[in-house]
Amino acid sequence: MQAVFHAEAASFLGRGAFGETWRVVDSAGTSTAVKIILDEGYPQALLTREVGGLQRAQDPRVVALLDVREVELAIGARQALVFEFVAGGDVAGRLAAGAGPSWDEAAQFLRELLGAVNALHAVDTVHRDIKPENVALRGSSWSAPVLLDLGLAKLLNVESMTQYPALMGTLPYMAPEQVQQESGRKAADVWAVGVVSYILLSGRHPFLGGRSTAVLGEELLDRMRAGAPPLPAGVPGDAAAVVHRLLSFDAFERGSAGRAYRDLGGT
Amino acid sequence: MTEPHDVDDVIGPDDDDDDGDRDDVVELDDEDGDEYDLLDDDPYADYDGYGDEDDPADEDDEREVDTAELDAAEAAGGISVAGDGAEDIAPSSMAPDLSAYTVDISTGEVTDVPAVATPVQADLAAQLSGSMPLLLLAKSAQKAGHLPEVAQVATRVTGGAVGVGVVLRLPSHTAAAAAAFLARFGSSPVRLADPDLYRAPSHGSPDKAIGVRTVKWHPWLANAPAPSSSTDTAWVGTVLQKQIDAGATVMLSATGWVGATNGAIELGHARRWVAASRAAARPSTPMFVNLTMDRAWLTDSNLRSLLLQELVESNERLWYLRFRWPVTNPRYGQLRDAAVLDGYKLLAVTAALEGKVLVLPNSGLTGWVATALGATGFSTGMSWGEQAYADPRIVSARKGEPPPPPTLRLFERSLLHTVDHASHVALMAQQDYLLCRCRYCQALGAHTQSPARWDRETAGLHYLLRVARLTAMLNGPARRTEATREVLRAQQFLKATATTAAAPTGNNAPAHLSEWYRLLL
Ligand SMILES: Nc1ncnc2c1ncn2[C@@H]1O[C@H](COP(=O)(O)OP(=O)(O)O)[C@@H](O)[C@H]1O
Ligand SMILES: [Zn+2]
Repeated sequence: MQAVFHAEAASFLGRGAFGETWRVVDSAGTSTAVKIILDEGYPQALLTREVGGLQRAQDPRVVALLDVREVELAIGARQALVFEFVAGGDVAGRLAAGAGPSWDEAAQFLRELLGAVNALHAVDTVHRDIKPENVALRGSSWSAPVLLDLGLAKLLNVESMTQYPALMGTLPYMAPEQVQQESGRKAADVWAVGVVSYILLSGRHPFLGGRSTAVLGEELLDRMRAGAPPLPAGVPGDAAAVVHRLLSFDAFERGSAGRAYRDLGGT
Repeated sequence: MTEPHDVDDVIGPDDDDDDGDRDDVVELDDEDGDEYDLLDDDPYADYDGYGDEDDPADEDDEREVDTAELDAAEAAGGISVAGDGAEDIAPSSMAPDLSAYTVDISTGEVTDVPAVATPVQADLAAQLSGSMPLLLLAKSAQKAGHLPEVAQVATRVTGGAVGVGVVLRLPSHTAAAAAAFLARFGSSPVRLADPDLYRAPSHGSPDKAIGVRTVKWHPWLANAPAPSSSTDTAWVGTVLQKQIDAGATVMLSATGWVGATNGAIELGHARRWVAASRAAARPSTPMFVNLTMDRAWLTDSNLRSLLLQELVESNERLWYLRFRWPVTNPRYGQLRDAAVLDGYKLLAVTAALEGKVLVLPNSGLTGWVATALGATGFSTGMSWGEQAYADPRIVSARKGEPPPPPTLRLFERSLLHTVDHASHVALMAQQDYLLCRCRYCQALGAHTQSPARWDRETAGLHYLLRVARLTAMLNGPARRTEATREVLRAQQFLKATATTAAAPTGNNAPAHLSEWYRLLL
């Protein structure tokens, strides 16, 4: 157990709102992604309950949670979540590198991400923070997205919000109801899939037009109400239709992830 | 407000039926006397001291012989249709004018009827799959003895294209009577025992208070916890068990009235009780989300969006949604409130897109239109209270005068509407009139000019068979087109009568047809 956190066996993956994520390679050479909850004394029972949806989803497109355990660190004991390590990078990294998908790849990505969200929603779990950083690409393939970090938005407490204000509220991916301070339900996840996919298909955000810091509040809502601009003509028609539906202002009009998944040929 | 002169102000031959805006007006009956609140339309009429039957399900017991004979004939491999009426035609010849048989219109005599066995209904899973329409025959408080027979005949005449199920109101029966009644529907896979929880005192629906006998016999209803309270596993279990004891094959969740005042909160409470019901239900027994809602859930865009989002997001597949209509005139007619109908349309379309099975209890032919638009089915019955869940008309008779006898209305397949006898006779002479050849119409002498054999119960049975046939039109991918065609046909028939003396007026006029057409287009 302790060996797992030997410095030479671990590499830093990133720092999120909850803590740090490390890639850890065990003696057998198997990698895991270990997320350490920096919040001191976080009750394990609560943690286990909050991430229960992860374990119930049981879908290769939803990151597998292998264990919830306490680890001893130099700063003291902390709760840690042990995930399968998904090799291949995440969507944010690919976008930053200017290595976006082709339209066909983006359409496959959309379908499989909907499959992931559908699997999650089927066990009544809502992600609430779908964004490029939280979607890994297994084997670097656009057709094999894997949803990371689900349910963790719920874990945010007042303390962590004040501690990491800059990391809070991923505004560009928030559904209108979240922008209006309502809590996100399944429809908010469906919206976020729409935004991510729209960006992959068009190279631009559907509502922010590259000036995300300048567009706020009412203006953003007005743009959302008006609907996303048309996608490029070469985008596969069924994918374009689904993405536009996912970006419906009225939550029910987005339909379920399952319906959109089936519309694109998912089973 | 009950002064006779006020009443006089609102009566008159031309004073007919605007929807919804007169429930605050105390009215004497309008011209044909049809608007009286008839006791048998109150679901609990027989139960709270109005009727003289302790056990409504036991009435008309002698009628069971008929069903028993049918069962025996069916068991023998085919039904002898000698004298059984023209409804026993082969499923392939269901279309109105394709018949292998001959009917003598002047005598009603039927010859050359092919023998047809009652098809076995599709199994429960198929009927709850949303791939075939479902018609639930709703047992009325009285005169329900023929319902098992109607289920059989409806199954035959629709060739098994429709799931023909049954639903009774649990609180109107002793446990034994409920079980005995449902047991008579052995060949109907879908059997429901509705706990009618929306009528619980703690639920605050606009329905009148439940009676003393209901309180005594059904303490689980009388003592139902308020929806806002925390869920009570034991009580939920009782409500489900009562349904199972009655022989129900599909459960209704232990939920009832959802008002509009604090809509989001009330829906949230219902969601908790649905979850508790889901947890308590046997995994092997399917269960409907069972809500009875203020009509604002259909007409107010915010509430409607909430309801639709609930339907979209919930992992529950089966939905049994009853909406309280405005006052609907005439009784035994059809809902015409455009806002409510538009709400139904959005609900039905959304349900179909999401693969949800939506059943609309007590919605009559409005449920049929909704089924054409994407719902899976509906319930209706012989009495008005089973055809519509609506605000009551406030009716007062003048002091000392007995109420006029109710006008008996017959459902006309030509018009998709009920009319009185005089109108029926006039319509029959019209070109393209579609005579119903069912056994009940023959019993009524509906093909003759004489009202001598007209009777309310038989007319109700004929209505149910017609509804079954209409529902059979909706089996198939083109259900919306089929329904539109049928409504157009009725409109054309109506139009052709316009310049004749047969043109239906007042309550006989099918004013709903244009609304239906608009909805279906
Ligand atoms: N199970 C995993 N497999 C592979 N990479 C992961 C896994 N979980 C997280 N990562 C990577 O680590 C990065 C940081 O993760 P995290 O600490 O959760 O930050 P954030 O909350 O910003 O997503 C993510 O962007 C992702 O690329
Ligand atoms: Zn008939």
